Amino acid sequence: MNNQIKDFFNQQICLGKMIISLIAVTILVVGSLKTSAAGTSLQLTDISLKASEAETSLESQLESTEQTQPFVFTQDVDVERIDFLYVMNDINNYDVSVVLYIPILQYDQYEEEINNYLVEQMMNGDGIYLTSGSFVDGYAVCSFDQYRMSLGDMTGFLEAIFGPSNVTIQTADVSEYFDEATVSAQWRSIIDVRNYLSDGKRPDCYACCKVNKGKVYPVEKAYAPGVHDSDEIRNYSASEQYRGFRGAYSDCLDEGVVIHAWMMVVEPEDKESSESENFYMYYNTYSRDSVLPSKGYSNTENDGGREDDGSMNSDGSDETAGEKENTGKEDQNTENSVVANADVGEKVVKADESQGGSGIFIWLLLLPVAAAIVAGLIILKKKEKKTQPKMVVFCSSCGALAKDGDKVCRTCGNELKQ
Amino acid sequence: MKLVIDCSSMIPIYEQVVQQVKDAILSGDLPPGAVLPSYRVLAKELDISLLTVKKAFDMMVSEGLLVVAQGKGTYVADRNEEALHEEKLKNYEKKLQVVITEARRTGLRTDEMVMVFNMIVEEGNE
Repeated sequence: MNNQIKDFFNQQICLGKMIISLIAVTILVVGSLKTSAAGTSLQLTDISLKASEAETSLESQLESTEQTQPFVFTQDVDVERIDFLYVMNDINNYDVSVVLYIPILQYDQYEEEINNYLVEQMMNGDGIYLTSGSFVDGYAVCSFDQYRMSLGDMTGFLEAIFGPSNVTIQTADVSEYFDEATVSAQWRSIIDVRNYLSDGKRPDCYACCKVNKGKVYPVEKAYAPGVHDSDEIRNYSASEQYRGFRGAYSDCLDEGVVIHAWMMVVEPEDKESSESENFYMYYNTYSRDSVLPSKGYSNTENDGGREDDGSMNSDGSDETAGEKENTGKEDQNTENSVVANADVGEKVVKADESQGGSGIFIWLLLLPVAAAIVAGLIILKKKEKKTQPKMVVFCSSCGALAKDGDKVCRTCGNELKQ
Repeated sequence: MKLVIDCSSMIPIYEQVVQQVKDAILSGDLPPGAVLPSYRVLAKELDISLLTVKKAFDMMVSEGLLVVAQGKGTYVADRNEEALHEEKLKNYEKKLQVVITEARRTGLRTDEMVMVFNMIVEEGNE
């Protein structure tokens, strides 16, 4: 009897130890998850500048600069937002380039899926890879080149990730804009392009200029962030009685500034007169505030020294720039003369450590329970569905299906025997 | 006609289909010339494989119970009375065999079985 009592107590003590160990492990795991989750919790706040203030700032900055710029700046460009741009370009064996504009708030949601896909494609030797990623105007811009992938394949890929209703693809065949003479220039930085222009040459297009953290990529490793040649801009140039318009797009992260620039070279009616040659450049820059902290960028002021004041354009547009006459003089300025600051219409996502902790804790506790319940229900339903007899009633006269209880066939009117 | 498939039954699904259609033909519920739904419709409605339906139908076609008119559908075959009677007898023997086997398994003697059989037949006649 004594031995039985001893055994009973020993069993209880052993069980108690197990429960305590289990609780301790759970607390440790949940605690570590909670710590890591707090750092990644995001809170959205909209911060932007009033357009008028941005313009004033830009103008004053342009006026204050002593550098001569062979560009005409304008602020009246209504560039259509492209969701997906499929660019067909044979130069340097780059078959196509795709630029994705993904709303920044959805980027985290899609990033892993996109990257997984890209890695898978690379492993399969399909040669698709991400070439750049930046955050512009509330959008994440992912540009990647890919080979051996048709427009249909690309569409399928995008639809698989974003859903068919969210995918709109515009195509632009830019191959005609590229020739041997311009290849050497098209990948250069904005500064190089300016210098190139100052040489008196007239390249057709200055697409895909790429400056990333101060580094200019060589032609061999050139990236193709995208080329834009929309009817909208073409019409704009037509309305201004210009011809030979070529549009280009570039974005980069350079010293904390995201440059979102549209460049446009307009050939004058009189090609012989280089004096009348005009160069348009539309540009916006964005401070690092527009970059997600989770991407590892620090939150510092941009190189223009301006900070966002929290206001926003009423239409959410991002086109803001100053205007200056083209002097036609040679220019060897640095990049800073080209890039002005106008932080407009951007959305900022900042980390907030004060939220997310307790919520995640509760979720962690509830999730396994909820998952178990759902799994149980699904299994039960499947089992029930499997074991339930299935029945079909049909008319022996015409073979048409009927409902159980019908006395007359709805197709031929024959009496049903059930 | 009503076709019921019991997925939890030990009898294969195609056999369930064959047996029920065959019974309906022999009982006259499905007279010669009666139309059966297409494979696809039956498979979809009964939530079973197309191949299972086809297997059942093929079996009945090979037994001469059904005929397939290409592009039209599957019909109950026209059969003469003697052939139909033969089929009924065959079916009856099959079912009776199952009953006799079961009776022997439980230890009933032959004379007892015959007596029970006669009694039931007589009750049916009354």
